[in-house]
Amino acid sequence: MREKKSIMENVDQPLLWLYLSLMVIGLLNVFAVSFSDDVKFFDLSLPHGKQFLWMGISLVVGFSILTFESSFFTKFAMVLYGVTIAVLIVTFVVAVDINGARSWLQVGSFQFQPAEFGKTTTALMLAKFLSIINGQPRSFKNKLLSYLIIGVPMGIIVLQSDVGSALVYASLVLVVYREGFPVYEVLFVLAIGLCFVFALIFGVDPVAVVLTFIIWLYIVFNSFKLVRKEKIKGIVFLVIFSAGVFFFLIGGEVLGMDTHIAAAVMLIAMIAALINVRKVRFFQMNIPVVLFAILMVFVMFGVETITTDILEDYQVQRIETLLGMSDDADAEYNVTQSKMTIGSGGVFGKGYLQGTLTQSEQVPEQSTDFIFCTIGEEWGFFGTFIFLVIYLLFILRVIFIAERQRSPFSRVYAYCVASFFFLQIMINVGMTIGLIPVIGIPLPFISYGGSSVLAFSIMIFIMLRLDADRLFILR
Amino acid sequence: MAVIENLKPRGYVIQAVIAAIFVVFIVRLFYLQVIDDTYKQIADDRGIRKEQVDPDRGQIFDRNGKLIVYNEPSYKLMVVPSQVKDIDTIRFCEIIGVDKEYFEKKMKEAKNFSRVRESVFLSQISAEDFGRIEEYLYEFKGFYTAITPVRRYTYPAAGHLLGYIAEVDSNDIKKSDGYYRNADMIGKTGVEKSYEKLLRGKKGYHNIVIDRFGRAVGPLNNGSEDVEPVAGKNLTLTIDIELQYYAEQLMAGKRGALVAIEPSTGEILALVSSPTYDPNMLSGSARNKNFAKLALNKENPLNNRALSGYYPPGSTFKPVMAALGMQQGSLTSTTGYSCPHGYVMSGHTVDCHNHPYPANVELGIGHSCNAYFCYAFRYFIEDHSNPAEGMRDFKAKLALWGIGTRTGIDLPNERNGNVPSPEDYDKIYGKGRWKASNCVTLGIGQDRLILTPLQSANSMATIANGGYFYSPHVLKFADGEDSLMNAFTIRKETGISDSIFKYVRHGMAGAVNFGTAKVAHIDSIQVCGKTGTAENPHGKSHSWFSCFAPEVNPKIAVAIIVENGGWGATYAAPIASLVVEKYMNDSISAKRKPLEERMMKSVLILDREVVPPIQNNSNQDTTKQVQAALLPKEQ
Repeated sequence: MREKKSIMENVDQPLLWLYLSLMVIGLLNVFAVSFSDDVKFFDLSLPHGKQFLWMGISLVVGFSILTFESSFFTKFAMVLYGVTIAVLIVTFVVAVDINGARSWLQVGSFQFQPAEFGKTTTALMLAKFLSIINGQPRSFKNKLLSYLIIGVPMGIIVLQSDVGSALVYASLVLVVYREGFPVYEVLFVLAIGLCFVFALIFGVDPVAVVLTFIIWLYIVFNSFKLVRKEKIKGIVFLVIFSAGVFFFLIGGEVLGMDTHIAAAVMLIAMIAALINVRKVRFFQMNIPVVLFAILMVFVMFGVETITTDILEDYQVQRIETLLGMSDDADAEYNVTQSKMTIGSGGVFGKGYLQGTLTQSEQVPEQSTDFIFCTIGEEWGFFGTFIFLVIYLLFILRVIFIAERQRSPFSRVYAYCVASFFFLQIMINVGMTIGLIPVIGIPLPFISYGGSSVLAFSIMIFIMLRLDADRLFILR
Repeated sequence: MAVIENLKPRGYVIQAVIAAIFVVFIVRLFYLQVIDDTYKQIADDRGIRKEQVDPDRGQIFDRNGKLIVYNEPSYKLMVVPSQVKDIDTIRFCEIIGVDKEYFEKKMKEAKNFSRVRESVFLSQISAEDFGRIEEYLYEFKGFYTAITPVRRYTYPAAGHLLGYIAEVDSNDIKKSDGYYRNADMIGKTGVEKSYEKLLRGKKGYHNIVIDRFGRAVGPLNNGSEDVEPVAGKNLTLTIDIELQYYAEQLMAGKRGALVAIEPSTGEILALVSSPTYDPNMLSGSARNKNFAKLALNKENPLNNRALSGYYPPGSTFKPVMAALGMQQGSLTSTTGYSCPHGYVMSGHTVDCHNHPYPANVELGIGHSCNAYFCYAFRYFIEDHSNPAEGMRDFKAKLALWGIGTRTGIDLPNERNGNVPSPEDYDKIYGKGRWKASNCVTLGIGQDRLILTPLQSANSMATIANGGYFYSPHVLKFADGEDSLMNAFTIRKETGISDSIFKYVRHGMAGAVNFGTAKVAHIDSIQVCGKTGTAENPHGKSHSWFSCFAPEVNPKIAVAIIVENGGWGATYAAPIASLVVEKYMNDSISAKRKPLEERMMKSVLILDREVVPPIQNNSNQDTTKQVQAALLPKEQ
């Protein structure tokens, strides 16, 4: 009795209250979507009723997590991670198609998305690994393993065609950045991902051109110093380098040359230019150019290989649909309807349960992916502002908790939690207000969906439990 | 020891990045909700609904420009549950003509789908009922009418060839690159499937402004952003619908298939599979009920026997065998083999009937001598270095005829047929432990030789042409789609010269004039034909007849099989010759009328339920009316 009380005393009260208020906001809005004259609040057959039930289950599960020993999570991190990978693979193999993705597993009459729960176990595994190597020199092997811990579940989820969830995993680069991985590496990993996505959306050539343009601007600006130091060599360097760039941008086309060959010519010219100035030891050019070269090779050859050889046609198609670039009139329509619904809320909104567009089912998937529209319509800018502030406070509080940990395990885990929430809300809200292509992922605690609410609650309560032991160093 | 960098500042960077994104969102929301009022006017209490507008599906005409398939409006009653208030259910049910249970069931279904969107309440309403219902509809809020097109057929014929359309399934949606959505229609078989992309046209979209109750108020911006549908292309087929219908009537009551091809082009003139069904049965809401009925029928009327029926060709293969032997040189036009009532082997005899001595190829074909073609096959094989080599060559040469391989017809579900390979016999007798005499009945179209009726008709077209054919096809013309026809203008050569086929044709003329196929003789036309009586393990022999006519400059090649019909001359030859006469002369001579009547009335299968009723005259009248109504609109 006494022991249990002491745990509750150590649980971070502000975060708990923020969590509960988000759950209440979620329930109110799911109810608003299914509301009409003849709908009662306690109706377990309708979404809000089920959501209510799931919130209850989540709280029960959550508070029982608080009775666990913290060391359970450090000890079993690896096992849980292994199970997660296995379940993800099984899901990929046996899952049936739901909305174009094979990411749902059916157990009895209950369906859940292993990727949701995998976030927590991946975070635990990453925390475990980074806490083991904490303070040790960050060798190439350690860094590679860290990226693999994130990349393996992510890859399987991409194969499940659930690109939204996979993107959320990618947010863990924020964590490795915080844990001291070199900035340019983190940016580079991000750049590879972004290049892949952009190459799919806009095509390979525009991405290659933009990349080339960026590196060229970078080199030109940095060349001023070089030219001041070594006049002739600097100018020769700049000329060869620029010649390569222009050959790729213009020359290749004029000569009717294949862009792949033109790119190869440009890269050779760049390397020749660098060799020319190798004795000047102007290193701030070498690394960016080499990274650029890797990116170019990836964009020009890798993207095509992945989309044609590695992924199946239908998977590429789904990724394209998710990125809102297939000829899908639906996706565009959704965004228009979503923006209109939010915009119609005005400053103070139409009032709770008065959302006319919400109730005339104007926005598809409104109780799940587009729940933010309901907040926008019924509560107006006033409501969305408050809502985003609450969510921002929630995430900042998680980071605050992370920073006060003594054990690296807890810190890394808490950062993972913050990163996940940040990316979920960024993609979800960004999509409803038309800043990001339509990618279907839920808004944690707000969107209707049992496995999402449960998974995020477990994630939060594990962190609260770890935080309650913040005075100890966990191994 | 490496210097451990103080990493705390990185935490601040992360917090700053997160906060920055939130600020971007808030600024964007401020713009959307407070400053921007693009959508506000309509959004105040209205919305926009994007509605799919289905294009008219293309119509289908026969080779003579007769309309075969068109679209007829079908009336539906729709309901929006949220708008249904204070309704006199009893009176409503009376007017609509449904009972209360139906009303409650449909309302529940509609509510489950959506309270504020339209669901179908009642479909397939007749035009008169529809008029009456519309009169009273103002009394019942929440009910609306809608019109959707349904496929209609001017003749109760060509069901297998035309195919049918039905709602897309999840597989269709997945494969379609995002074109199809739930409840769209798609061609499932036949021409409707092969030319789905031409027939379906392109969907349009209308932006409808709706009020807060989801009711349509009018078009958005006067429809300036609407995309209008593009109607599907009309197709002209190669078939002669009158001939097709006539052939189906002749085949009624029998199980089998008939294929008629124009040899000089490869155009299919008629393609019958029997028992068949009236294509109208599989159109509109009647489809589900009838489909189940047809699918469960033990005669399997949905199966297109003309393309996928597997039959040993029997004696109808002899002309092909003759051509192969002469090409090889193992047989010459003047070769004669004695026939002691069969081909005698150690062990057993391939029986033959009583006929004069086959002194040359023409007589061999004319009298359909089994022994003759067993020899022809045996010497063909033995002309090669070993039996395996011979069999391989046999298979390769037949592939050039489109036998044992698909002919490339533009209809789905065509099957390969079968020509055995040396490996097949290796399996039975052991590698290299067999020779021609083990499979000598291949020469008379038995053993493991399997042809589809289409392949058989195509081989007739090849003989008629003198050694080449064009892939059989049913599409004659589609506006602006000339490139589709390219595949059908490639002359496929068998590598055998016309001088060889001269003897084959003459032999087949002999079969009709004095041989086994005298019943197929038509006074005014020289028919060249070959009967076949294919033994099979499923009861009585199949009755085959393959022919073309006239001998010089042939216009039509026909292959027909009547399952368990006995001798080739019993059913197959008369029906084929009637089809030829009908096509060439447009009418049947008085002398042959009794034959026609006998064929139409003969019944070999007991279940006649699926056989279309014969109603010649009235039907043509409706055809003309429909054409008169629809054609001017088309031009």
